[in-house]
Amino acid sequence: MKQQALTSAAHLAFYLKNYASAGGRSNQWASPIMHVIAMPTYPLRALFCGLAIMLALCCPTVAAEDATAKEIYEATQNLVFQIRVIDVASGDKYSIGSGFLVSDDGYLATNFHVVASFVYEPHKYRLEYELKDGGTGALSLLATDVVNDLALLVTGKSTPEFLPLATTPISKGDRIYSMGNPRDLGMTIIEGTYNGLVEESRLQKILFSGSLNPGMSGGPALNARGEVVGVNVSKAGEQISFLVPVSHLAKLIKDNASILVTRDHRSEITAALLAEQEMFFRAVLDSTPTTKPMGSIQVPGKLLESLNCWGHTVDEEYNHFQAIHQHCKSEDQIYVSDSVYVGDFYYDYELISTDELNRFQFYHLMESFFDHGAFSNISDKDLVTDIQCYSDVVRVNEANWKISTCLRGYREHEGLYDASMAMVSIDFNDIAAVIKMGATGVSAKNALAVFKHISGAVSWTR
Amino acid sequence: MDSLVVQTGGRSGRIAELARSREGRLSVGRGYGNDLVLTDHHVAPEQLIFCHEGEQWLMHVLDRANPVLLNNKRVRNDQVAVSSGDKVTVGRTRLSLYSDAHPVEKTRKLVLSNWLAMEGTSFVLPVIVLLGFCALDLVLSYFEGSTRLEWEEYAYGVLLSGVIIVGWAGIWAITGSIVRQQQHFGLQLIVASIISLSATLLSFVAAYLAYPFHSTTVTEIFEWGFLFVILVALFQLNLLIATNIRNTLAVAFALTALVSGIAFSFLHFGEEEDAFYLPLTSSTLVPPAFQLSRASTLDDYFSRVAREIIDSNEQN
Repeated sequence: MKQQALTSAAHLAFYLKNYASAGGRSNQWASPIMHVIAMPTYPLRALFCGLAIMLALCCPTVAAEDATAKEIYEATQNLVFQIRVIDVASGDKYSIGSGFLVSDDGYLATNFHVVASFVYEPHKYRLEYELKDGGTGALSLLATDVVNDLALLVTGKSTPEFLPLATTPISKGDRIYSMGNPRDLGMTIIEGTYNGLVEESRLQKILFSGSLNPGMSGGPALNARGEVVGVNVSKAGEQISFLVPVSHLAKLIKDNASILVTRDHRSEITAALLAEQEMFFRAVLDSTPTTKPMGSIQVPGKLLESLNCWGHTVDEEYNHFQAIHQHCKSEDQIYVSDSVYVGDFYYDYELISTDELNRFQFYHLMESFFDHGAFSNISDKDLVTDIQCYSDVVRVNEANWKISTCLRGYREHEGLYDASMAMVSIDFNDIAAVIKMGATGVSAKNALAVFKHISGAVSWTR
Repeated sequence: MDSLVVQTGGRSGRIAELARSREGRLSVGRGYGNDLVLTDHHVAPEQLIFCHEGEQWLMHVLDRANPVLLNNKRVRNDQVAVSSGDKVTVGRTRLSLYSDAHPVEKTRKLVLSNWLAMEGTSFVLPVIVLLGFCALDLVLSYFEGSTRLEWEEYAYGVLLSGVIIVGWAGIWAITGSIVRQQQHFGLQLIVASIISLSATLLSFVAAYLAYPFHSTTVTEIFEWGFLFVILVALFQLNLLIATNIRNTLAVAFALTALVSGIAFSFLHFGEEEDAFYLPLTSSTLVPPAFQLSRASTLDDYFSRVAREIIDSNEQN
């Protein structure tokens, strides 16, 4: 599959349609036309290219940003499909999403989470698309990118029209248009604003100030030239939605351009998750923990720019103790299946002191603080092993700590674990630090290395 | 020739109805002409006759409206030989047959005889003991565990404990009045209070014994071990006061096992579900005074975590 060759026919058709709808005023598709021009190996396309150039040159120019949602919708509506996961037994749809044509080979892009149920239970489900005119067809799964929540499907039919992928950067504030089929209500276009990549994020994602809704997952987000700049993936609130940057889709297409064989998608998912966590935690481990004071202790600060850190102080009189609290965490989760999310990473410091409680009461209080956070990323207990913990008194930087570390393994993704560690200082009767950290979907080696990396950098200053 | 003694109604603390044979003969039935008259409508007016013939006693069954059982087996013949210690069931009445020479149980030593004599003397001592328990429980709990420095929340807890103790003593007093026709409520109250106080003290010991070991298992073993001993002691004393059971220790042990099993199941009900997503580790810390063993290094600790958890996980 040739990325450049993909674009020509669709761009021309897109241009022609928009030209017509704009009453012959538009040349905003200059860029797509350039793509067409760049594809001289196809005689028919070259002919269309020439026609398009002529039209472009002879017509009044209209700025690209003047393209309306209506124009984009009319030009692309037939290239955006509803993707359906059909329950084989009942013959009815089990879940829906959106997808769009990205090649003349009939390749469709969508989200991984749209087709995940088929990936894990192919005997139970099958994939199907539905066109705007009601036509349907079968789909095959070609490739997945679980980390970026993308999947590539194949219709098995070649197509002269498809949506081109943007190759030029987009600027903050640019209008973009998201398409999809929200809640099975029919094909919809939503206008919003591109607000750059989310800065404090483990995964690359575009902040789209528009309102995506369920069923639009996997649909394209287009710039004013009708090029794909991202793939609808999630939302976080009113007018806060996220898109997968098109570069990840381009890579997925490129990596799988000529592969159409039966593949073990499950093991590929595991490998992708292992590779992603390896990259992320390598960066954490490569960071030199810059410690900062928190009351009487020195603790590592923000280990990566992608982490989000917060702090607060508890000093209510009725508590009879004071607490300083800081925590840093990764805001992202990776969808693996309806029952499994991974990608959590957090570390959390709490310094507790008192001048009112006696030593027995203080230790009682500290024991109430010493626990592990719940692993809430998996909802099916059959998917993981039992949690196993190991506790001991450990000397860290001339101070004694009670440390407890717990892990559980993934049954279907060998090598991945959920891990948690809690440590409490036990040398003083009126002040103590509680440090907790955890990660989900991490290799055991990385989990322990990161726990050691953080805990080894903690020291008392009193 | 030994006489035959037929006993009906053998509840401890009550006088049993006895009939002794005369001239080698004893009749049993609902009719008033019998040697032993049974007020049981399922017994015939002339039901049984025991006769001494030769060297043995024979039981003649005179009426078969209802079956007659000898040692829980149906008697199908009109007469059958019986011996000392046999049990005969007729209608809804159970009879015990003894000869004069039948051995009797060795005289039991009366346990708590002085205490048992206290019945009805005064409620002052039991109430003082109960209030003493409540006060000590309140003080210990507050100074050991109150992180909010609020007496009130502990006072309510102690009040509830007091009510439970009184209720417990009441149940055993009722049991005593039924089984032995003696309540001994005051004594039951003292026993329950003292045992509760011991439980409070031992729970602190269990908590602090766990410090040097800083182990979930040790904490659990001590807590459940102490609870078991305390419950056995409580049940045994309750049984001694309220019943005439011979082996009170065995019964107390069985009752404790039953109660502990129910409590353990109840407390751990749903824990398996929780254990899937919530790491359940001991929250026991190790205060400075209890740090008896040398602490590990971070390297050692994480090596052991890898060995104990990851290696075993991968083997499975």
